[in-house]
Amino acid sequence: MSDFIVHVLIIAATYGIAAASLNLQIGVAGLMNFGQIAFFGIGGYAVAMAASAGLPPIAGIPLGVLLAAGAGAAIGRLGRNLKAEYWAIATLGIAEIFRIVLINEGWATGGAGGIGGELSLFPGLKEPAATWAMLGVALAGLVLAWALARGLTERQFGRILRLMREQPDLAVSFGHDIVRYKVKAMAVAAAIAAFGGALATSYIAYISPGDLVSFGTFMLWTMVIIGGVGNNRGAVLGAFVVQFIFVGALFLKDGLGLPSELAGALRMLIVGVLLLAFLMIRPEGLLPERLRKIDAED
Amino acid sequence: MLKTEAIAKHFGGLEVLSDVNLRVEAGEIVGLLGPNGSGKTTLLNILSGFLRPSAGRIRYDGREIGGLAPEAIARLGIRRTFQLPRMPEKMSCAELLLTAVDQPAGTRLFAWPGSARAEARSARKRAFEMLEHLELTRVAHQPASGISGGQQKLLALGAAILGGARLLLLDEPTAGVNPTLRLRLVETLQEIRRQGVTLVVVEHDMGFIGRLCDRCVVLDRGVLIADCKPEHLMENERVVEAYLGKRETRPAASETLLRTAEA
Repeated sequence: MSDFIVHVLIIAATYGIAAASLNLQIGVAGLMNFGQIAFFGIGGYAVAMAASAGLPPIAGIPLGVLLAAGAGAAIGRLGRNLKAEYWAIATLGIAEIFRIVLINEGWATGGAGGIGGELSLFPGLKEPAATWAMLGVALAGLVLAWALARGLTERQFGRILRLMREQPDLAVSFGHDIVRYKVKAMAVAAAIAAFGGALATSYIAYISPGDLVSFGTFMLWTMVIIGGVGNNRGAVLGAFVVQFIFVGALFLKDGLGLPSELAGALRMLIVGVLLLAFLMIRPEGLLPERLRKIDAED
Repeated sequence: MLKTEAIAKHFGGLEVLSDVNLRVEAGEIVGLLGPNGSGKTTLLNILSGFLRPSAGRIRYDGREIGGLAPEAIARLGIRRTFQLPRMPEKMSCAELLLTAVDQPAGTRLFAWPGSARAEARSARKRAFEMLEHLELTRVAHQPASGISGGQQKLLALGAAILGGARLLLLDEPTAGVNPTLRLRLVETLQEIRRQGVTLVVVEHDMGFIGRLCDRCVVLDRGVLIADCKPEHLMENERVVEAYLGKRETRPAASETLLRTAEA
């Protein structure tokens, strides 16, 4: 049982990193990214491809983070030409294009079958030490991602993003170049998400295009909405709540004696119902965004 | 300070502004008047870069600014306010003012904590001084969208000043503002001018214009029809026509109105 909880904690922590990243985009900057799972995937594939190329998997982390930052900046730049709604649709399209490229460029990506193997960040460690070390890294990574997202949100940088989210014309009239802010926010957020994806892939020791379907983005959105859009702690809390409910549904299957092919559909249904319930009853989430108290003195 | 040459703007076949030549000297308060739909807000949007002119040039301190992005124009010191205040819900008045204060270290992704902290401290001090000056300290911690319309206009004004306005373009600063606050607004704006800021004010309230402005320009159907001191407005037949129609077709009630205004 404790192995199982450790497993869920590691997965929840890596998703928590991606949720903190998504909150920086939708909750802070108001950038409706429907392709978040692609950034997660860039980190994951970087680790897997680094290992296939004979490099240590850990070398894939900085590569994935840098690549994702570049991709994030490029997607943020699209915001110069596209209005918010069209930009949101574009992110969904870009994530799908990325997935289709992964399926078709099998020589590098393993195609639809994906890449698996020895992807551990601690090749020298045996079980259970390796899993415990992974838990430590995932939780430390989550704290780091949260601290970075929070630091950016509360500084002048995040303040301008928040103004841009609510009143873009006012932000422009104050002299803020909102495209530059979008590009910067997307670059950082994408880098954070890739870091989460890299840790998840290294732990699971496998990644395939099937892991990057839009349901992944939907899960991350659900985590942010349930946790509280605009609240960094909320995004992390939401990741743990949703992840535990998601795996908890497996026990429900046993309890109800349902066939396993129904279990997958059942847990998606439960997440969907949960999201709907929050949107209708408590749209501000478990930890709503609050007004920041600004004091004249320190 | 600001000079437009033959500004024109059309939306498809609709000509909203044509051949507008406007001069604003440093230190002036200029009223921009005209009936509804005469193109005042369009002109303000063009001057602040929110709209591009279809033709013509805009020179500010000798520099052509016609094609610049609105944020670039704002950074040159041309600041504007909006007719309907646009204030965020999830931001207090104090925090809103902070977004207007230039804080280069705070907007970098990575900055030394020390430098950003000193800058943030000085920004907070300035924001709270501004709140006190505008008598908004009481609402400092309330959501910027939750205060009264008049207070929101004052807040927008404070933000523009904190942002380093040299030329301030105000779009109907008295709309939805109660009479007491209007009088205070005149004082506040005159004080802003004494600090070296030039003002262009779009306004309908003639009393407010008379008390505040050095000079008025009047737009009618996109054309500048008058440029005079406020006290001479009613003597200008074209201005009277623009607001009340031609003398021969004017209803009797308008004549009474006009006589009252002149008196």
